[in-house]
Amino acid sequence: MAREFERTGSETSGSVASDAFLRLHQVSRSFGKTAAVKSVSLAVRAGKVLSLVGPSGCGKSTLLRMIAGVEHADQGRIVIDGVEVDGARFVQPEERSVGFVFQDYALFPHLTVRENVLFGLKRFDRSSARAKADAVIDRIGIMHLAGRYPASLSGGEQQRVALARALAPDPKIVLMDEPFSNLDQGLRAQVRGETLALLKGLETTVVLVTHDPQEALSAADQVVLMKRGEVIQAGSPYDVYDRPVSAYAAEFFAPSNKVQGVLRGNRVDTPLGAFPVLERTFETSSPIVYIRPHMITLSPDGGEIVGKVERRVFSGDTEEVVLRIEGLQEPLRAVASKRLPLNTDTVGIHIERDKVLMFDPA
Amino acid sequence: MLHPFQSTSASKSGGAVIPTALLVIALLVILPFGGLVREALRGSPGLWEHLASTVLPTALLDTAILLAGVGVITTLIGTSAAWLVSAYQFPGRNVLQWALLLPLAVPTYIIAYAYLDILHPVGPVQEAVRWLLGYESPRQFRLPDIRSMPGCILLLGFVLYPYVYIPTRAMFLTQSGNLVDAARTLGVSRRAIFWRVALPLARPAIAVGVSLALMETLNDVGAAEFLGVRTLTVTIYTTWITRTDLPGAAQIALALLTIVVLLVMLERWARQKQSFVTDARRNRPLPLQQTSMLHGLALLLAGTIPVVIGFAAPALYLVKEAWQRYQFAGISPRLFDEAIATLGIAAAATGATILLGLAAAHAIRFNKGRPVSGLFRILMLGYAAPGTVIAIAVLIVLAGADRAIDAALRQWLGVSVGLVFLGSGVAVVYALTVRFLAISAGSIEAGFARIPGSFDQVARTLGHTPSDTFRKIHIPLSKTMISAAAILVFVDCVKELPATLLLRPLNVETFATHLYGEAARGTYEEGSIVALAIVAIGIIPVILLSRVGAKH
Repeated sequence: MAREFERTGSETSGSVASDAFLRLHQVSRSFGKTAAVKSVSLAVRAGKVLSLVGPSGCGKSTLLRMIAGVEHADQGRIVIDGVEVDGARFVQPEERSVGFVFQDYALFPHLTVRENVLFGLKRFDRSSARAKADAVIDRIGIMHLAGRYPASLSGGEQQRVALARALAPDPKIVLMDEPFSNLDQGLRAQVRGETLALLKGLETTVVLVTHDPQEALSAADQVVLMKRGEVIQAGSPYDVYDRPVSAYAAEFFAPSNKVQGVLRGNRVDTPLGAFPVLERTFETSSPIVYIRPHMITLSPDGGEIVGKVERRVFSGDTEEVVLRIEGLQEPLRAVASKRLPLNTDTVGIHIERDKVLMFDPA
Repeated sequence: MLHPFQSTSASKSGGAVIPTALLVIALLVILPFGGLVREALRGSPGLWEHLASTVLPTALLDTAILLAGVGVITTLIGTSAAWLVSAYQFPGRNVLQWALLLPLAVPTYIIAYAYLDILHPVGPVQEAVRWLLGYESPRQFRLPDIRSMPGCILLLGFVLYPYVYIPTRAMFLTQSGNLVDAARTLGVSRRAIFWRVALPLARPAIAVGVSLALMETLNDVGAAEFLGVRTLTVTIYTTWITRTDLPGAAQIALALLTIVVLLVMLERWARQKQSFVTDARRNRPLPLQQTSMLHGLALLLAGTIPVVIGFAAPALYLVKEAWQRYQFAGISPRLFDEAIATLGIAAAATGATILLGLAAAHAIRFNKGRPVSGLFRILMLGYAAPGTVIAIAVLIVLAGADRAIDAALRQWLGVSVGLVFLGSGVAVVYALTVRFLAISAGSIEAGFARIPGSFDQVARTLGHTPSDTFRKIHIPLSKTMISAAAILVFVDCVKELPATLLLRPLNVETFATHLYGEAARGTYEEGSIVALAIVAIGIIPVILLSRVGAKH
């Protein structure tokens, strides 16, 4: 039984990039006059983790619920493992073989942990369902909780039970809607790491909805950034972070210093000096240059530009330094990689000039 | 994100947008009212003018005076009792808090029945007063007759004030702490708090409570009749029973319904105001003011008065009378038959309301949208309508059905089945179901509303159909609400008088109709025993209510 459980998704894990395991084709959905999802197309390969990220109200949860079938699409098609589940025909959620993990976990309070896990195993006979449930419970490491009721569990434990319950019926796809946001800060990273390692080990195809850019980047093989029902950008985490398609995408993943520049030939001049234009990502002749804090190196011994330390925001691991620079109206924010001496007044600034981003003004 | 749970709609899930079950239930509720309107229109053209010039003016005036009087009394008692137990610390406060709910167990016709005897010129109270004052005979001295408008107002006020007490106390408990503190820092004295902060704050709660108390007043037929007050409700009853004038009764019933609609509007308006107040969730209860021993005892005494008049005195009287009767004659077999009839009718109506309530709540859970919630609101109609009105309405519809069935069978099969519905008790169960469906549907739906939509969605993705989900998740999770609703409906059915009185099959008596019969005849035989039984059953929901209150 345990072996069968572990085999989840493996049949299709060898498939190539072109044949996606989950495919959405121009899917739309409106509520009354509000268009929640506008013609979204995306594809996930078997065994991969896709994260849908964006601010609240961007349509990511609606999209997830349409994949699960608890919401239907007004237009477009959804195909899971070669079977059309929404489009010309509609497959009810109970027929789709998807596992769903909710932000509030939605554990049934009148059932024990084991009974919760057994809930999705009704097509198995009693003894094999029981064996299957125990295999999952054991795999997730919550055997000691099997007889307890959800109300007596901690947040992290509840999250694991929800995951076990979703995985027990060997779903084709696991859908997770903000599954970690109810956990404490410290616990969140740990549980996320464990959960994703487990899902990777099982080669399960996962769609993860989150509003947290760090979570989206760290968890996924593929990141889809949404805004107002539309896909802004899709790609690998490195791709969407390093090569954002718009100022919005750039700012979503990391807040930047914005400096007004003027295009001169193949460089852009700014009060911080000239930046080479390696790729034309803007149309105007006076683009904004986006400099992320980590592209700036500070040195107490001086450098090409000198900044006056205005404020330091120390948060343990990192320290943000806010600098005043002559000719620049807004202060420049940098992250000190090495601790500056406490009495530092001025620092030398070095910018990785070929890494900065340039976009048209909004 | 706009809609936390929207079930798949018609085109893709195969279900109708408006579920058939809900439509049928709503039709069952509406049907009698439709019949009522039709019957009222059927009356001869001169009938309305005749009614308007004879019985209606008195009935309207008496009803208006009664409503105004009961409104004032319930507001006074309910609000001051609520303030007493929420603002002051005194010995016995905890017991008094729930004891003040006890008059709810006493139906209006029972308090009237009990006090007719307690305050009778040769009853215990007047005897004691004469003995104190040194008079020898009722001819020399007697208290004003309880069989009067003021008597009726007082007695109804003392059993209906809990309708005001409950929401007002809840308001004081949950809302006023921070506001009172703020007012005091702004220079309002402790004494002035009641008038300047608490009372204005509690106004919506009081209005909700008063409108409910007035609906109960309109529902009453026994007390008013025993005490000689000719309200609209009594007039409907006598128009049908003594004059067998169904169109006339239907017309007065419609007049009564308009007053009910006004009360419902008052209640809704007040609730909207209240929701505005209850937005602040994090408020504290009022800090209790400590009192000296003497002051505390005085407060306890004051708080005990409504409990004594509205519950303890009539209940003790009934215990005493019932005991005497039992020693004198034992318990007659007739009472067993009546017990079976009472419990049987109540059980059948409870079963029906719970089943229909579950079906309706299921429909609204899995089909959101305006038409569905509109239909659902129709189910709530019955609770506001007085029992007499519903009874007349059901009578009209089922009498027609009975005649049609009998005629058809006679024509085709040559047999006469008589009155299938009215003769079998189906009519009374139907009327009680229409009247109390709101309790079951409302509380079951409220129970479901506490189950997050994600539960439904998880259950569906785990391979369960909507009806599986309903059976395995929704019903087990709302067990408490469903059984509480069943208890409330059952007890209300046992206490119910007007509809049972009008629609029970011939020669079948329940406890309530037995008591009515004795009071109407002026005989005092086994009345006290059945009244005591009704009050004892009526205490069950009071206990439930006090436990809910304790959780606050």
